[in-house]
Amino acid sequence: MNIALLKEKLEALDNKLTAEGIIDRRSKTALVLDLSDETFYDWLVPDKYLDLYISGPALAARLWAEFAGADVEDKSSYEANNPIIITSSALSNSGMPSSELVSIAFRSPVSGILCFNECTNTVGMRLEALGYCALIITGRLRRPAVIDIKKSGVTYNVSELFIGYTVSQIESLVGVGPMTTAMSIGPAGEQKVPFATVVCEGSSTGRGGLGCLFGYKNIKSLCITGFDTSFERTGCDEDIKKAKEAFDKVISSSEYCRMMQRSGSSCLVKRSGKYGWAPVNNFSRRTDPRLFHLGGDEIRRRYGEEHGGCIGCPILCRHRTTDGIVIPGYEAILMLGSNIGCFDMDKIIERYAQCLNFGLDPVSTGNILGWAIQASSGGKIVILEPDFNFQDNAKVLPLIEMIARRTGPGEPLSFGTYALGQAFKDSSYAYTIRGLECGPYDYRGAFSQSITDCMGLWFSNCFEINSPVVRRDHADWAVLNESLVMGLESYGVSANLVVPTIVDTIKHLEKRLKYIPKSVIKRAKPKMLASMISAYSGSEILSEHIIALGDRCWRLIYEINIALGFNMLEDTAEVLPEHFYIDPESNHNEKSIVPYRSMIERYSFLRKNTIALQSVEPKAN
Amino acid sequence: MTYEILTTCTGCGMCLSICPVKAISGGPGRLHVIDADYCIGCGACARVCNSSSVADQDGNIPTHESKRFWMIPHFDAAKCSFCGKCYEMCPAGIITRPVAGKAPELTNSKLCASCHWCEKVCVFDAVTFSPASQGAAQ
Repeated sequence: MNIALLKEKLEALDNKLTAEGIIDRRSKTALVLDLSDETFYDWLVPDKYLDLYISGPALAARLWAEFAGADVEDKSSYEANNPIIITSSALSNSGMPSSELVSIAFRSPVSGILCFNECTNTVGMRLEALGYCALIITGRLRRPAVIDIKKSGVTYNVSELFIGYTVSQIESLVGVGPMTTAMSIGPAGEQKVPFATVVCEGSSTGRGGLGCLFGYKNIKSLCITGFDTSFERTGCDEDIKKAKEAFDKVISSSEYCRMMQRSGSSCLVKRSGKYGWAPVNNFSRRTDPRLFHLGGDEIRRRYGEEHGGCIGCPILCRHRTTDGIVIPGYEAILMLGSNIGCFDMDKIIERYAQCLNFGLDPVSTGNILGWAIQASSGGKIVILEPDFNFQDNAKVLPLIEMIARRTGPGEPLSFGTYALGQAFKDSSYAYTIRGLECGPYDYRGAFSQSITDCMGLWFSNCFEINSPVVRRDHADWAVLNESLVMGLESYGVSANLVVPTIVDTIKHLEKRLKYIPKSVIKRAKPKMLASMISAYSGSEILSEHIIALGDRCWRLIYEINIALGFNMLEDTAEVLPEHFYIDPESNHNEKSIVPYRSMIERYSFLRKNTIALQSVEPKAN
Repeated sequence: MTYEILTTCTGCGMCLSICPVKAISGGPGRLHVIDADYCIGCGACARVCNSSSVADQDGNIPTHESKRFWMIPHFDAAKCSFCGKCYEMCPAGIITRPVAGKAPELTNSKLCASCHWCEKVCVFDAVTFSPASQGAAQ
């Protein structure tokens, strides 16, 4: 990859694009950590970047291209030249609901393409309190260290003594609390397990191998101490009150939000069985009556309605047991439960906690365990003892630890599903997309999700997952979903608000989808969220600006991925595992083959339009 | 926003006892110091100071306020979603964890720094502020 050429290309693109819907950022400086010589400095982010890409994934992608080293493609040194960019939300600390989104961009050590992790925690809020809009981590530390970021500066504390410590151990050592947050890795990240994750505030920050990259860079934990209660809103109080009232009305009348508040995101488990996108027994089946035991109603009955959520989010999808133990989201429930034939919620909760404590991504871990079950049941591959019982947590929990620590039978499994499929010359049970384990969906029931995942964007919750009504024009919906999600997230707003504020507000949605589906796509505009952003930011933002920003973000990712060797419009022919678009066997009555090729054609057509529209020279006034 | 203690400090220790994050250090009768790394900018130290010895980063010295008139939070059970964000985010750690049907409460209203952070993190508008004396009367 010629990084200089990419930089030139992106500069030309920046000059061609028109910045609309600009938000005046409070913080315009990024903190750059140069790990190679353990230094740090402030870097003023050019106004051009802040105007065009605002914040979130768009700004993170642009900054990644700015700071990527020339030999990022060189395997021996790529970890040093592969920067990690963490951006805060443009609306952080503004008081706007669901606006504490944190975006992390890096080149995935698994798939080799640009990867985004979106999570909601207090990292962005703390960065803003320290006066930064982004954190840029370049280079590689010589020795494992805990990085401590405070107002007075950055310190690198050697942490060789803490090698092998779990996430909970390291968090108690660094003193996580209301004043300090930490992004930490467990033994999995230290051992460079490709599907290791970074854990922050009790949640995984996402997929793609960020934990592995932290391990490569020798970062054990990234602590940020910052808290500022003196922030004042920039928007007009009267506008905020008006917008908030309308928003509250929509949220309180939304069935989706009520469902989430009652039983957390586990309510989607029941739906996954009904619409046939549940991964069951390593993606061999799409539904199972026992999913009832993992669904929202049953969870509510067993564990009560003790709910919580991310900071500032009214959806409250994170539930707890009465003892305060976090109940995993639907993704982890499906992958650590139904995908490995386990339908006991108590066991899944323990497995989830074990994965996070050892720094493993629960979705990928579920995938690799599913592979292990299917591969060993055929008798072809012998990794585990013959009577290994995947229902028994006394065996599964130590196996998860062994995967993270790369010991015993966990060692071969720690290489990931793709590597195992290649090593055993049998990829028939290895369900991966560009080397990364498939998401928690059987794509035969979630067509537009398959497109988004095949593009390497890995957004969870496409329309069809959250809103079962939307099950038509899959490529069109995938494109709309991408633009909406990337646009909103680039303004720093969580994409979880898409269903209650956009889809649910379209009148006669079901009838329209039946007779005039194209009109629904035209009507699916984030008007309410645009007015909310306008009120809280004090700038005039239209729904068109959000979509345009999403398209700009997509274009940026497209250009960067081309430089990284993946053309999102041309290299997608064989990305989806054949199982989903050739294998007709399924235990669900809906269509069992993903119309992948026709969807990709339509997707390419629509995205080429996006590129063509962005190539039009702006009219001179 | 960070605060700084001026040399006119009498070392009475009022700021030290009210700081919700224990960012102030100093012995009796000695000049107290604020650790900027931990200062959350709530301004409680400045409002409690009898000798007007605490200034903000712009050099302004907030006026002394009697603690009776400090605003403290009240949690509306009808609006509360029991998500527990206020409990998790309270810098002083004086809010109880809400349980379904029972809104959070202050364990010790005298320790509240009146930073309004619980109000900011609540998206359900369940937190309102009123003077401490009024709260006690209620």
